[in-house]
Formats: sequence, structure tokens, C-alpha cells
Amino acid sequence: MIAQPIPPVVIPEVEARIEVDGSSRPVIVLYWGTSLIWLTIASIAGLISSIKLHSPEFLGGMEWLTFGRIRAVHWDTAIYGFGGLAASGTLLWLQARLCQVRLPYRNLLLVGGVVFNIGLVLGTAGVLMGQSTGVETLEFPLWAMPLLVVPYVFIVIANFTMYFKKVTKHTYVSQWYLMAVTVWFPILVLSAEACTNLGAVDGVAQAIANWWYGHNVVGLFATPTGIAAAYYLIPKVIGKPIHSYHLSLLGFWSNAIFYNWAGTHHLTGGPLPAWTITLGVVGSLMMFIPVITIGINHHMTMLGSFHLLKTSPTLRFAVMGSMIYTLSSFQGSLEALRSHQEVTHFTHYTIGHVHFGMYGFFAPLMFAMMYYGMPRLMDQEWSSARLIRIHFWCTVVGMLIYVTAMCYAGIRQGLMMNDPSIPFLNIVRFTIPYLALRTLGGLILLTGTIAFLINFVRIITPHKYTWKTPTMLDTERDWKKLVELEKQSENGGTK
Amino acid sequence: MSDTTQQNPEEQQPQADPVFTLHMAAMREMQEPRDGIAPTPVSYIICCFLALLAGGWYMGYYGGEWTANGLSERPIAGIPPTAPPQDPMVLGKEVFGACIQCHQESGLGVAGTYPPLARSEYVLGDKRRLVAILLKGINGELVVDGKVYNSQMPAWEIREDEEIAAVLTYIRASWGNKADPVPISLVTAVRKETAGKGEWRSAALDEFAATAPAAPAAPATPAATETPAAAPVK
Repeated sequence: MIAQPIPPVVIPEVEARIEVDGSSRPVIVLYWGTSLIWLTIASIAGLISSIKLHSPEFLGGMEWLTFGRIRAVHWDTAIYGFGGLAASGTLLWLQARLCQVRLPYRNLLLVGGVVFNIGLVLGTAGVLMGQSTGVETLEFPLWAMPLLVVPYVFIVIANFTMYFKKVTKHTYVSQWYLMAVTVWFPILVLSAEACTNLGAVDGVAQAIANWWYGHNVVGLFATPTGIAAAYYLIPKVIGKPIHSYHLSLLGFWSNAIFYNWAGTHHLTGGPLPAWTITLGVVGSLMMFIPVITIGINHHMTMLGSFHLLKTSPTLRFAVMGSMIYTLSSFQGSLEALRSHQEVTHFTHYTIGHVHFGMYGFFAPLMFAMMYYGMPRLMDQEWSSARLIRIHFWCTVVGMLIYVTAMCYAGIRQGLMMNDPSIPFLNIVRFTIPYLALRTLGGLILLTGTIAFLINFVRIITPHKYTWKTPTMLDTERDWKKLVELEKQSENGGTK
Repeated sequence: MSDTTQQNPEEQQPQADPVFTLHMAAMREMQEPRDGIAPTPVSYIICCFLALLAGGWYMGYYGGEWTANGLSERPIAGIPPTAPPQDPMVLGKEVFGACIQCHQESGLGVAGTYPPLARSEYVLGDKRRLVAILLKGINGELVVDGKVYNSQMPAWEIREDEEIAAVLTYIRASWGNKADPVPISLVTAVRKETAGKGEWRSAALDEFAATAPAAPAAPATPAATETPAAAPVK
């Protein structure tokens, strides 16, 4: 094992870090904390809809929890509740750190965070009451949308303010992605709402707008934030520079150019002009360029530092995220091909792919950000290494069970559906064990989330005692010891 | 970073000392990330360009003729690439739904209020005049089949040329009417000719019908008579 390098100390940088972490605490903790609550809600909603697929009588008497509503709640709370809040917290904290300026408009951002959460609650309630718009990914009723859009405007303003006041001369790769997200996302949401729920266009153009948005909300909102986190965390934790600035450039711009076109591959076989779908397929195929480029950059940086995965929770989640980014993007590009879709379109395969990307790439990177950021923001260490290990392994195992079951079942399902001699009900019966396996996977993922939530609640409650050094994965730190010590000191104090 | 075999929790010392805080923060983590300068291999750039070329080829090969109606990415043997032209009698009957309120399904109109289409000299006569009426509408006194009518017909120029030609073909071949179909090109020509005009009066219409069609419209008429050969006549 190579000796650990002593961190080089740049005094102004360290001073700025203390400033940033101290000042941004309430805002970031609010965003990250509530994002975890929404992740739990989304997981439970996902579990309910998953159980309903193999046991349709489950909660069958409650109209509020019918599949059409609870599935919409699952996806919308996952992408806006968990994704939106976790990514916004990440965006603000990373930008503040990389610009080395205090987080501006902290009160406004706090209010924004609260309003965003109220919007999510109202939107979810609206969908559960049956007011869903029926446009996938934009199911929240229109009256709830301003509550989600306005807080995002605050985030955009704060982000630009930080960038224009930045102390550092250089703009780091992560910042490119963060700036891009703040420009892209409002355009995406507003134009998609205009073209679908507000009815600026109709017919197939509405479907195109819907899937353009549905694909881009993952690709131009979640993905860039995830990549920004990976670009920050990997070199930061291992203490090496990122492999190549040139590759960073190539990866960023090719991502910006190609991702936007990919959405229409979701409509293969639909009544659209063939060239619009071909454009989507080509856009997805060209994503090989940014994905490989970003992959080389991340994995080459990591080369030679894999031993650190044994100890650092942040690095473990970050590397898992960046590796699955490469894998799931390869899968996605190939999936767009018409010959591939002939089998997998409208099967469980697609659902497997979405969860591979969201829970294998995006979510772990957000977890990594939280594992890295929270001890610095709270001035306390993670209370239990065991809970972190549980969280990590639940994420890995649950996600693998889920994705393999869905992808395998999807391919078989597609092949059977292409054979007209097989009765449809036989295909449905064939998928049932895999759907049950998916519920198991989801349950394991939820267990991991709850372990993380417990750790998170402990780190935000102020304690008298904490560990002196960062909580690493190979330690046997137990929360009980801290509690005992606290009790002892209380007894000692009262005596 | 990872030398953390420390097992015993210790009380965190509340330190007001800035030097201590600075020291802890500095030791807590590495320097902010920097960019490395490893060059991009030329072979990699070439591969990217090859990928782009492949994408361009795919786009062209599966482009589905680049039309709004090309729903199939590759031509399929035996199936024409675009939808066949619609039978004007079928389309015409559909479009005629908009005319029923006044001219009635029987084509007889409403006695004394709305003129009939069956045996009407305006329907069976000059096709150019008929198109002009439909495009611009007509207002005021009008003598049809020997009877005087005084009402108003709206302009229908928002409809497609194909629809106008179809509905006129339909009314010229229904209810005992037997006249040749109205070609789409004639509608296009008359639309161009009457552009900017308001609704007709009986006198102005006669004057328009008496003048020969403008020069560009002239060749359109003979060409037009060829196209609707397929149109069935009842």
C-alpha cells in the first residue's frame, strides 16, 4: 500500500471552505434531508405499485392507491422530490465550494426549499386524488407547478450570483455541468409544460414534447448533476487531479450536443414521421462519445487508487455511480436501436434500465455527496459505520436483483410477445415470479434508504460526543458507545 | 485520509482557537480538485469522427424519405411510400357535412331562403365561378333555377384545396347532377386569382366569370382535367 500523501495546504482555500461549510449548513441540510424523506416516500410508492403487479388484490379497495396513481406518485416523487432536492443541494454546495464564496440569499433559498416541499406535497396529493394530468413525468396538476418552478428560479439566481462573484480564477469541470443544469432545466420544464399540459401543440407533436422532456429530465438534469458530483468527489477523495482536461471538454460538449435529441426513441413504432424517431436513435447512439470520454476520465483518475474503496464511504458510492454511469449508458444507447426495440420495447426491460440509471448511477452519487458533505456541514462524524455498510450493500444487492430480474424478464417477455402463437396470458403468468423478485429488490433498497435515514437523523441532531476522525468503512464504530458516554457524562455532571 | 483505526470516541473539544480550526479543516480533506493535462490520443478523436460518420449514415439510411408522411424508416416492398390520394367522392361527402345546415342533405336547400345545389346552374356550370363562390362566399340577391334568393353564404377559404375540390366534385355528381370533377389545381389557381377579394355580389361574380382566367392560371386547367380521371361519377 502506498503511503498516504499529506494534503497540500492552501490557506485561503481552507479558510474559504470553513466559511462556505459554516454558512451553507441550514440550506443544504434542508435540501438533502427532505430529499431523503422523499426518497423513502418514492420507494414506498414504488413498492406498492410493484406489489400490485403480481398481487393485484393488494390494497385493491382503495381508489387513492390504484396503480395508475401510485405509479405516477412513485416516479414524480423520485425525480422531483429526491432527484430535485438532492441535486439542488449538491448544486448549491458544490458551486459555493468551487467558487469559494459564501452561499448567497440563504433565507430566500430556505424559503424556496420549504415552498418546493409544499409543492411536492400538494402535487402528490393532487395525483392521489385523481387529478393527474396524464402526461408522464408531468403528472402533477398544473396548479402545483408554480410552487416547484419558483424555488428553482431562486436556485438559478443563487448559482449565477456565486459564479459571477467567484474568487477562483479557474472554472472546474463540475462547475460547467452545474451551470449547464441551471440553464437547461428551466427551459426544459417550461417548454414541456407549454407543449403538453398548456396545449401549445397537439397530436403527435405533444407526444414528442412529452418524451423529449421525459428523457431529458433524466439526461439533462439528473445526469449532469451526477457527473458534476463524480468529477468533484473522485479526485477530491483520492487527492489526484482529474485525468485530462481535454477529455473533460470533449465529454461536456458532446453530451450537451447529443443528449437533447435522444427522447423520441421512446416513440419507436408510433405514428410519427420515421425520421423523428431515427433522429432519436442516432442521438442515443452518439451518446457513446460523451459516455466513453467521461468514463475514461473518471476511471483513469481512479486507476491506482482502488484500495481506498475499502475505507472511504464517499468514494465507494461515487465510484459505483461513475461505473454504472458507463454501463447503464451503454445499455441505453443500444436499447434505442430499432432492432433491439423490436424485442424490448413496451416490456419490463425498459423499467430495469431506468432503475439501473437512476438507482445505480444518480442516487449513489447523491449519497456520496451527502456522505462527504454532511460531516463537514454539521461538524460531526457519521455515527455508525455499520449503517453505512448496510446502506451500501443494500443499494448494490437490491439494485442488482431489481435490474437483472427486470431485464431478463423483459427480454423473454419481448421474445414471447413477438411470437403470435403464444397466448398473451401465458406471457403475463411467465413474468409474475420476476415481478415478485422486483418487489424483493425494492424492499432491500428501501431497507438501505432507512439505514441511511437513521444515520442522517443522528448526524443532524447535535451531540456532545462525536468521533475524532472521519468514520471509515473498516471501523467498528457503534452508536451505542457514544450514547453510553453521553449518559456517563450526564450522570457525572449531575453528581 | 484513511488512517482511522481510532476506536474510542473522544469528546470533541470546543475550540475557539482559529489556528486549531484551520488545522482541522486542512487535515480533514485534500485540496480542491484540479485538472490533469493528459492529452487526448489522436486515435480516440478519429474514433469519435468515425462514430459521427456512422451516425450520419444511419440517419440517412433510416430517414424514412424525410417527409411528414413517411411513417416507415425503410421502403417496404409492395407498399407505396406515401398514402394514396383520397377518393374525392368520399372526402367530399365528409366535407359536405359543413354545408348541410343550409343546403340540406338532399341538396335542395330551403325554399325561399337557401338555394338548391341539385340542378343549380351555378353548380353544374362554370367550374371556375363555382370555386370562386366557395372560396369567397356570396351575399345579396341571386337567381338560381329561376327563383330569387337573398341570403349570405360564408367564405370557405380556410379549407385545404383538396377539400374544396372534393366537396365540389361531390355536389356536381350527386342528387341527379352529372358533371365532371373539379381538379385540385383549379382550386389552387382560383385561390391565387381571387386573393385579397371580399365576398361576391351577383354582379361582380358575373363580371368575374365573363373575364378569361389570368395568364398563369390558364395552363392549370388542361393539366387539371387529366388528374381526376379516377374520380367515380355516380
